[in-house]
Amino acid sequence: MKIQRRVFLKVGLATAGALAARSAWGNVGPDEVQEPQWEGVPGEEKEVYSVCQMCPNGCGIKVRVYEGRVIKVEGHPGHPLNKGALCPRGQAAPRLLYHPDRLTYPLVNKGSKKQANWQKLTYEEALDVLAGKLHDLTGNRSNHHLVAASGSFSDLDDFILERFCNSFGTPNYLKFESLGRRAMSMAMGLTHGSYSPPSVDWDKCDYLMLFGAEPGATDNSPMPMMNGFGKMRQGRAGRRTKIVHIGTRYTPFSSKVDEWVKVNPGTYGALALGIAHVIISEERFDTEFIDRFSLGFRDMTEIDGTTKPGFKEHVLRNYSPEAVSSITGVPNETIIRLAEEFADGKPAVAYGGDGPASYSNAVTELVAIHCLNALVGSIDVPGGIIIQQSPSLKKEKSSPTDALFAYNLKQPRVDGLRQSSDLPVFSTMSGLPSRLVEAVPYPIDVLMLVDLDPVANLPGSANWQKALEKIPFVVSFSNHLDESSKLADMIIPNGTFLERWDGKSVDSSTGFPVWGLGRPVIESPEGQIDTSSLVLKLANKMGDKMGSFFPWGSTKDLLREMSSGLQASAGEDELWNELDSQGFWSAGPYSFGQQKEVYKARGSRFNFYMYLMEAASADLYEGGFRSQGSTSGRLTQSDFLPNHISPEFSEAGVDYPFHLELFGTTVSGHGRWSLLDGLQEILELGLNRSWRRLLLINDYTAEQYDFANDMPVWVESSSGKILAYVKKSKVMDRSCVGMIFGQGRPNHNADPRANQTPFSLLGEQISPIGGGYCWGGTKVKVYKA
Amino acid sequence: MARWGMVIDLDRCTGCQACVVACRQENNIPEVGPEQAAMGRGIYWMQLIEEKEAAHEDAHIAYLPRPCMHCDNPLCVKVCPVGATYKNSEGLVGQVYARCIGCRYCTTACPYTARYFNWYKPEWKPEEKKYLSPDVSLRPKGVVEKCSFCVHRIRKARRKAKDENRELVDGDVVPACGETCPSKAIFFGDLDDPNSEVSKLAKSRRAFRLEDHLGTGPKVIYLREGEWSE
Amino acid sequence: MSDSIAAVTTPMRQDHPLIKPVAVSGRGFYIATLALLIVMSWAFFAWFTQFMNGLGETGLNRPVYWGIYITNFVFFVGISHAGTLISAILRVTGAEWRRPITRAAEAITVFALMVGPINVFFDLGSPHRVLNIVFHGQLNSPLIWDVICISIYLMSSLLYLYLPLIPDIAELRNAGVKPLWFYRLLAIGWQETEKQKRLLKKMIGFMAIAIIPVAVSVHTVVSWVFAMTIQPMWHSTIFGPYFVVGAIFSGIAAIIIAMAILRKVYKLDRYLKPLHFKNLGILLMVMACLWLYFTFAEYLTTFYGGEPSHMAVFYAKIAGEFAPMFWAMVAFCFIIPFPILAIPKFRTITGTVIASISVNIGMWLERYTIVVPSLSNPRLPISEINYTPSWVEWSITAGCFAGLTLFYVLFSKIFPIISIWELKEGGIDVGSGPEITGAAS
Repeated sequence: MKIQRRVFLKVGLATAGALAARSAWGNVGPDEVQEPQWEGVPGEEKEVYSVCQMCPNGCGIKVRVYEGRVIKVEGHPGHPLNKGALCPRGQAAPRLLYHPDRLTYPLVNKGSKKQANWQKLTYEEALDVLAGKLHDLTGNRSNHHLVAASGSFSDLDDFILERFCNSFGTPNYLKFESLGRRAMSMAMGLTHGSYSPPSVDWDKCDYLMLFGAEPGATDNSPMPMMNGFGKMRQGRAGRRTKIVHIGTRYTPFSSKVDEWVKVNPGTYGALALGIAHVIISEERFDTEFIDRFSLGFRDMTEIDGTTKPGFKEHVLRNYSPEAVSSITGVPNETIIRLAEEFADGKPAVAYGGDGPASYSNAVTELVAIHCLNALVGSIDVPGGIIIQQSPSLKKEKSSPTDALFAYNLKQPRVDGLRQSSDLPVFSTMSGLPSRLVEAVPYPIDVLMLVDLDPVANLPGSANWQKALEKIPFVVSFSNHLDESSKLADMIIPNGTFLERWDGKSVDSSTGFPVWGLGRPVIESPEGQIDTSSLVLKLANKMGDKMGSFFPWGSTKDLLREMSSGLQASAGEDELWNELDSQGFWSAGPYSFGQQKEVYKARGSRFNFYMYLMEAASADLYEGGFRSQGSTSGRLTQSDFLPNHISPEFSEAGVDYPFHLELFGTTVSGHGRWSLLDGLQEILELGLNRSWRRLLLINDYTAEQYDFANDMPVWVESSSGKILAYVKKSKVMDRSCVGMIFGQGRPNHNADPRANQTPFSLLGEQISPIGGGYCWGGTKVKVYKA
Repeated sequence: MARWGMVIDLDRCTGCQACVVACRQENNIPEVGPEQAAMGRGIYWMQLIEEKEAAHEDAHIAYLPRPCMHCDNPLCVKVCPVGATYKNSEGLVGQVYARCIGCRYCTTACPYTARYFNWYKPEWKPEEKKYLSPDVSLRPKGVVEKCSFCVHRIRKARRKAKDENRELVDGDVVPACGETCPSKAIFFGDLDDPNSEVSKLAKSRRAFRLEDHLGTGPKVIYLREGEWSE
Repeated sequence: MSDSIAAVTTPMRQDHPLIKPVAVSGRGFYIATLALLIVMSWAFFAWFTQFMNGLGETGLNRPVYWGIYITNFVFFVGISHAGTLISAILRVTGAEWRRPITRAAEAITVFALMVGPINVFFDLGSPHRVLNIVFHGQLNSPLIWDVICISIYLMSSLLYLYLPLIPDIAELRNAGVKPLWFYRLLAIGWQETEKQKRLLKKMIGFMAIAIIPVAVSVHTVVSWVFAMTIQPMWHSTIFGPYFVVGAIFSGIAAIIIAMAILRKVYKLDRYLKPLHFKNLGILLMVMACLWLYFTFAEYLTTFYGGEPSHMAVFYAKIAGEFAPMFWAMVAFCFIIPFPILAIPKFRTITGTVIASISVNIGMWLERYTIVVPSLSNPRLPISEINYTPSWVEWSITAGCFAGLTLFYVLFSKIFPIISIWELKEGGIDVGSGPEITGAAS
């Protein structure tokens, strides 16, 4: 029957269907086949050693190049600084090399700054234009009207630009260090006499007090602390370093340490002095160290009969735990306990980072923190503070003989720099933009920006914009049409560090000198020329006179010559071959006990009483540094001892109720690499957000203001305003709001109102000693957008 | 035959996310862009996940790096209707992009939420394609992907050992995350080799595994923060 | 011999109320069809956008990897249990009042079973590889169990729909309804001989019994897609029976709605009487109580156990972001319909229809609150990612409802929606024309 047939068909189909889904119960799949053998990928592949320049640290890298393309950057396994490891920013280097927005040829603006009309130029033409402008300056005898402002991390650029400025006849070679670096270096300068940030022998430290410092969340020597953290915690059998994190805000890192101590903004140094008080009063200080290696601990009688106060009495008199407790908000008992643990926990280190470095009182705060190391004898010992030695490169100082050049060189620097014993005791780097706008001390006619985007990445953003608009000729050596380059008259792309020859000293924590050789791991994809090579060419275009100071045919030749100074015992060829094959040269191990290397200040000792500061007091006073003690503000002796000075805040009051905490993370650093999509998409710790600029605000405060998460709000200071998105946070103090450097990018936001960077909120607050930037003392108001 | 496992020492981890960035670069993981990332569609084979507790003063934000656990008893493999995910003889849970139909059953079954999906076609600008690695295939839209324990590195190391006429030894295979970690918090090796570093560390008093009680048998072992121990 | 003799009865005419809807189409039909086609075209456009661009066009994300499509899948497969209950269970239990409504119910089953699983196809990231399910299917995967069971159920239901349809098609053929070749073909030579009648009865009887376990298996394996994982508030032993109950629940509600519309549009008051709605209403009420019982048992057990990862999902549903949906579900599934159905005064046609609409809304919400909250509160917490369905998902959902409705409307236009054969088998004199000769019991 037809119907029966249908039944049969139906059943048959169903069975067939079930069979068609045939398989055994279990995992059936490609593993039925043997695991495939790696047959390799056709194409040429090689590994090239070089040096990373994503931050000033100088880690060695091993670059994997496939068919002429950089596909991965790893840490150099043998490099003494990073030992095969690499931080997130280094890993993102290929993204920098192959950034889709990279400029590939020089551009000149034939229109106006308001209405740009970029025209293509060759490198030769661009350098000719620049040379022409410089010749004009010479013609007017105003060579000093050239400013070369460099944010490059390259040692070679540093050498060549300085040499260029010297031989051209302008004092205005301004090196813009990473945020906080100047303050950290000045603190060491005043106490040790050498201008370099502190290094730590992390691996052997047993007790670590981090004042506003976190591993990696900065552009200042991120790698050593990250590397050291692992070793300190679980790298030594039977020992685990106790770590105390002192900060204004509970961060994800705070959850990893043994104790988190909350301190009021800008009062880190006061806490250090309170701890010092306890150490001194309980006599837990290292007498031997103090007697042998320090000056100014006790009151001193000078040869001429005058007396100078000493650190001991000064602290005992002024910084009792009770007094300090009310300044810092840290309970009395905690101060006492920390002091006792620190003194007993040798080798113990007190390390001040971005936290104290961000306020106007940065240098003195960092000095106070560093004094703790001296108190317990944690300097120049295993597990303590060490001074990074620099490789002895063969660097000829340029010595121009033309009278005109010499006269110009003696002009005051545009940043008002005053030096004392080679220390930049006073400068207004942070106040530079308004000086440029007001033509103080003289107008600037040519500004060279090298790897520097001041509008986006430096405080005083609004004034930088005005300055760039005002200066008649601005040339930006940059690979991108960034915020500052847009206002330039000419842009010259200078390639990335993966395409150039370079030399880089390691700047911290190996102790012994290490010099890395950077090389072009690939040919520059579009034929870009690096800054140093460009300046070499430029110098030779300026005429024979200047050219004679730049006799090298190429930067590679220059590097070869520089490297010949590294090791007297080795031949130049031998040395160069070692460098070439290994990618770095080092002279380990570090030897302790070289007193004259460690202490270059008075007496070849640690200066509790900062003689250098005393010597520079007139400059400091002129620069605006005032005494806390005397009513006239004139500096007295007690000012040359470590003091806590209240930090300055920008316009505050009811109008600007919140303290703005700007901070970096391991992924964003100080915000320089916000142009890398690969880093933007990383979710920031504790926030579960990416790409967008967040404003961290206390839960309760957010409720009061009726803010919800992801709501756009304006954040405004007396210097400017930017858009951010609310992120409620339980750990922000009610009086603070937080923002991360580098979140969100200029001109890449869905909402064009979010196109500026947090630097637009920062005014030109000056840190009186040294002139480093302040980014911690800004008050803001917040309201819905 | 090895049995690959990973040990992550949380006491060493600084939360720097170098592992996250290295993994993305090594495995050609695309960016999805701001709007998509805000929707929660970012792809992070290695991701730092957080545990937040309590209110202000006690706000404990612990975090740990979470790759795929490569479970011994993988729940994702159980539910895949087409056998696009499978457990191989070395304990790796593999993903066959060419077979995946994108039903996302595995993503909902995984108790670690360690799997990711390509909601759109992954895109790179022409310039960006230059940094893509030839070792790892690019995924089309509509398939699931996850951490592979850098299987391409395992295979390369094995091939290299074979070419050199020797066996694989501990330390031959280093995944991208482990290679880059600045505090050397990530270890990788053969759990069946009693002398390998991971085997020894797995026996530590500090060792624990995530969601262990579920019986998934994860092969990523964490060492909790605490006093130094062997 | 006498077995093979065709029965001699007066053939029904085209103006018979049960045949007229097939023979004659009014303007309403064309307007309705056009409107539904427009909605379906829009849904197709939405799907096409998704097909070309990727599932990114939905609102899905990590961790909410499943959303509206899976909700629709479970919902429509659930509705499909209508037919089985009415046709099969009521047949097996000898409930005579079922006779006019069996076909309407069976039709819902068949078309819901087409619309449901197609949502899984929409949900695939790589739909062009869907045949991998056939070529590389893994029997350990609950999704493959779904494929097998739903395929079997669909084919069985098609057969079970077709068998009693044969005599009716013959009536249409005899009445000369166009296109004649179509009905002649599908009637496969039915002459109402004794032999044929016996065979048909036997086959239908067999199918009625066989299809019940198939139907139970279908929604059980659909529930096991969730229950076989270990996710909080998915991994529950009660899911199998819970989903079957829910399916029957929503299925009955769907029939009631369908019947009410058919009654109005095709003027079938003589055949679809208040009694049918009353009885179905009682069944619906019973299912509502059963549903409430299972739901209560599920949530109380979770709450009492207090396991943290489960409680996260629990609180999300009871008091958190899904609370409005959850409590709306309770209202729509029980609080609103129960009084209407329990109080005889309200158990009218209008009352039961209102209750049924409420139940279907509630049951759709129930599927949603099963699928999404467990995903948005995973064991390893991911904070603050919400799922908001996109226009594509809503459009396709609208398309599914439109599609189901359209298939149904077309079906009722091609075949008599009330089973003439079934009425005759029950001893009702159907008559041959519009004269009122008998009422359905």
